[in-house]
Amino acid sequence: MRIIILTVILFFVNFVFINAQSITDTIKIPEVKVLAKRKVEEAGLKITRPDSLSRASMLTTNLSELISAYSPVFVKSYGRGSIAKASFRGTAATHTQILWNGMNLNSPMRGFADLALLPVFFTDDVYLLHGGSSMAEGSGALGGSIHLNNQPDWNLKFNLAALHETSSFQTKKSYLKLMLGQDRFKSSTRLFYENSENNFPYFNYGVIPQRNDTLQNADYWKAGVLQEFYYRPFSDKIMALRLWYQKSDRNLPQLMSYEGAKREEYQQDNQFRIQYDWKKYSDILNYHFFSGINSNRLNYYRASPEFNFVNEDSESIETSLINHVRIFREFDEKTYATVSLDANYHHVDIQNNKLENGYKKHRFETSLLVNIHLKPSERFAAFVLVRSENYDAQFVPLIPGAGLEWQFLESFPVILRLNAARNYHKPTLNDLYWLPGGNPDLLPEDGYTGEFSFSGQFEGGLFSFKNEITGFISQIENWIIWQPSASGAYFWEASNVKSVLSRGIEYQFSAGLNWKNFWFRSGGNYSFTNTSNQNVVSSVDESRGKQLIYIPKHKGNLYLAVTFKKTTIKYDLEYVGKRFTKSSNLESDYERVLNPYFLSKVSVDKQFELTLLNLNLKFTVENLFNENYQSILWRPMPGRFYSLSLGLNYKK
Amino acid sequence: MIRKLLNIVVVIIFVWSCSDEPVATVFFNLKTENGVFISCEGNFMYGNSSLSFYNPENKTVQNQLFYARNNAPLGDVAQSLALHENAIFIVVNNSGKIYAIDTETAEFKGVITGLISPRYMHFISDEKAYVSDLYSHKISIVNPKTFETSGEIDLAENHTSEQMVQVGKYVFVSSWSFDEYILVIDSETDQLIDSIKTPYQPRHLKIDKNNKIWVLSDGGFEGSPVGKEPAALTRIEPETRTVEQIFRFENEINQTSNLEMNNTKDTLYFVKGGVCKMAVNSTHLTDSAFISTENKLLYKMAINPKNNEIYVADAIDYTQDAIVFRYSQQGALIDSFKVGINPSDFLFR
Repeated sequence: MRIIILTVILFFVNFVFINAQSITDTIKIPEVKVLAKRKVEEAGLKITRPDSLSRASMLTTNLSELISAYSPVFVKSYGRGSIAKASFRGTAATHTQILWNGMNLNSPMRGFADLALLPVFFTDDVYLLHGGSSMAEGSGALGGSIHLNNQPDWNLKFNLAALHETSSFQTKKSYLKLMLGQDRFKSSTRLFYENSENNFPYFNYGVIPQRNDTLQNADYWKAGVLQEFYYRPFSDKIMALRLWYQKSDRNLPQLMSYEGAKREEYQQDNQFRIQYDWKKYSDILNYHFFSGINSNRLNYYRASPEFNFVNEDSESIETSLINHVRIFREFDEKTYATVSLDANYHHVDIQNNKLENGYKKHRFETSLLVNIHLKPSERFAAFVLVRSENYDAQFVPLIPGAGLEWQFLESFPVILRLNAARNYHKPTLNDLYWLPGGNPDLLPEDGYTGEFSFSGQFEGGLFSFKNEITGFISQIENWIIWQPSASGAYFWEASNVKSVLSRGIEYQFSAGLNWKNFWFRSGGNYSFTNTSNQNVVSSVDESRGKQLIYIPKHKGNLYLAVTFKKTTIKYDLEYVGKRFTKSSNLESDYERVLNPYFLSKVSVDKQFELTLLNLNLKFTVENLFNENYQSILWRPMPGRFYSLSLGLNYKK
Repeated sequence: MIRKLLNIVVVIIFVWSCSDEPVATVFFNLKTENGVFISCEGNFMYGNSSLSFYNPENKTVQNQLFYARNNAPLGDVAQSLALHENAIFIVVNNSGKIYAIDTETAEFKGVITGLISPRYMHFISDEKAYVSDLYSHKISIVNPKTFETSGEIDLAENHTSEQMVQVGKYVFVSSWSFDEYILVIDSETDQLIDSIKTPYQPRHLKIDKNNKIWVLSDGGFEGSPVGKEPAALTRIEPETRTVEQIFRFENEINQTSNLEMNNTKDTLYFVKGGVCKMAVNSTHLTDSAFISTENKLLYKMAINPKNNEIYVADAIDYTQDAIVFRYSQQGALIDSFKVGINPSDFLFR
């Protein structure tokens, strides 16, 4: 029923805009060669790119909120400011690779990157590669990959942008960007600081008697600086040096049912990234090389001060040296090739100061990619790739992938896309070496994935409409999970347990209409994901074929915006379907499932344009209908709250 | 048009929000004289622990007892159960509290809060009980009548507390986590008066017909800061507070867990690749299981003190409702039934 409601909403929106064609009888859809517009390297790949306006409207948020609102990907968030993980197509967070200018940010220790620590303000372009498409940029992304890129605007000589936002629960966010330089040299400096008491009220129905409560010990602050230097000695050569330092300190709240002694629990993250990036272009050859360091220091502390007892005091230091070289060659107008080589070294040092144990391990990994791109006509393109990987002195079997795009009718701008690939995901260093329970005998997770999609892009006069529907299927063997030891030991251990089959549909659309002085825009995503464990040994096991826990079958989002004389009113709707918390998917009045929820957001944005200066004032109401919902079992989420932001942008 | 669309969306959301109906309270009259309460941990940090009741006479089971009666979740990780007069005390480990409910109706009677990581509860008198704690160097003293904390017992640094048994006025406490001692508490003075060294990580405690204390140590794990050694059964003479005998499990293929005693207190039961039993006056360890746990993820084993029937909980995959198998004293399967996730304790009445 709920899916029908959402589908009706989506179709209704389509109907609005398709009907809009009748408003003006001058709109005609001309002959379009959509495929010809795309880069040949992107042909056959499934890419989602939140449009620049959506990204701009989310500058004061972190990546988890952007991805959740403007892509079909499900984000599992532990609350405002807390850890957030992306789940593509029913896979785990470790199956999503996050790349910053090509450099992998996933923790070699834990396997994932925390989206809550990636500010949208520090990006210029964000896009997602789904499923096997991620193979073109890296391996290990059994679900998909998220790419954050920085690029200078060479047309600007000077740009100063400042943004401040104040919101409920004593939350303050400040951002500053300074860009300067001439034709050959650019410097960009970005700073941000964010802090919140995060002490929102909620109704606590996890205790007896039930009562109105305020979230405790959930305050956080984050701060970071991103410095970029770009040097362009010639028009065909660009060098970049990027440095990113970020620090965050987050207190971790307890579950709603907690009524114990006061706990002090926090996580501190110190992250430093540096990257040297070099690109050279010519008519037939493009070179790209980068080398960088990604270093994370994570402190986790938990204590009961009243009892003077420290439960956990651990420090994890991860250092990754990442190197990449890529050569793209055009052999003729129909044949192109990419060859890339990655050589990475990771070092992890984990110390538990309380127990005085831990582990120190390193990993050296290489990856060689050969990708042949074919474009025999303006309406057909294809690629065939193969990756060879090596890690911890083990060779992963060759990983193949292939895809094609075909605009089958010249006069009709609809493209068929097919893509299939094999993929591997290496066990994380914690999976292998954590004490206790790390399992050095773990096998890599081994996946096959395939998809097809139809996309259409219609433009005419004042109206544009673009949509895409994708069907996907993937099978992942040797899925690693942590569970109590099968040997009867009291601790948990990592094992290759599951065989997971994931299949589903993704639908995306965007539309725009200029009508008189109004500019209407809309966009949305919907995903249906059926992901289940197929590997069940015991006859009494009821999890066979059931939806994996914490993965919604239905997820969608929709936005509607209208701009009139520099004033924009925008409505955002986000929907997350029911999520099971038992592998058997059992539900009753007392068996907890996480109920579906809709989150609405309304914002009013007014721009004031002076000659070189832009001022922007924005007021937002989040969770407009005060929805009572949980993203994680028994973790409260805030009701309706408000934010006010003021932006200033000076350009020359 | 946009306004109309917004109106439609608002109506849809309103209709949606009206669809969740409140859950009605369920009133029980359980006749629990011959039944067994089963606490189920749920999953750590999921807050989905639960309480079940099984009646072996008519083979019926009632799950989610606490939630259904009290319209509130039990909390995060229900660790153990303790019976005192007509109340069952449910120790909810990671919620830092102990709920007390009525034995017949499961109605909420009170809650002891402010604990850190409570594990087990041991009653000294009507007005005094000890609560062991995994993450404290203290044992909490609580009043089961007022549900208030009345004091604490200081344990020396590096000691924590797990299971408790009493011989005379002395309470013997296993200090399990990264430790190797049984602590001796004088229940009159509430003071730690002695400690007895055992193999690594002593956890389970039972008293036999000779008033000897049996200790099952799990031996720790590879890489543990206190080291790793084979699991062991240790027999302690409580009067002299000395170790009489240590049986070490040399075969480490399967971990040794759970320790139970039959009703005549002459036979120990433990789990090692299956349910094993051993006479208390045996001179050697038994290593052969008489109830196989093949294809089961055995999470908890218990003995009904009335008839020595054996209850074995299979956690299946740890994230779905477990199945409990009920065996006769000889190991013949009598019944099986579903309870909550990861059964942690059985309380026979």
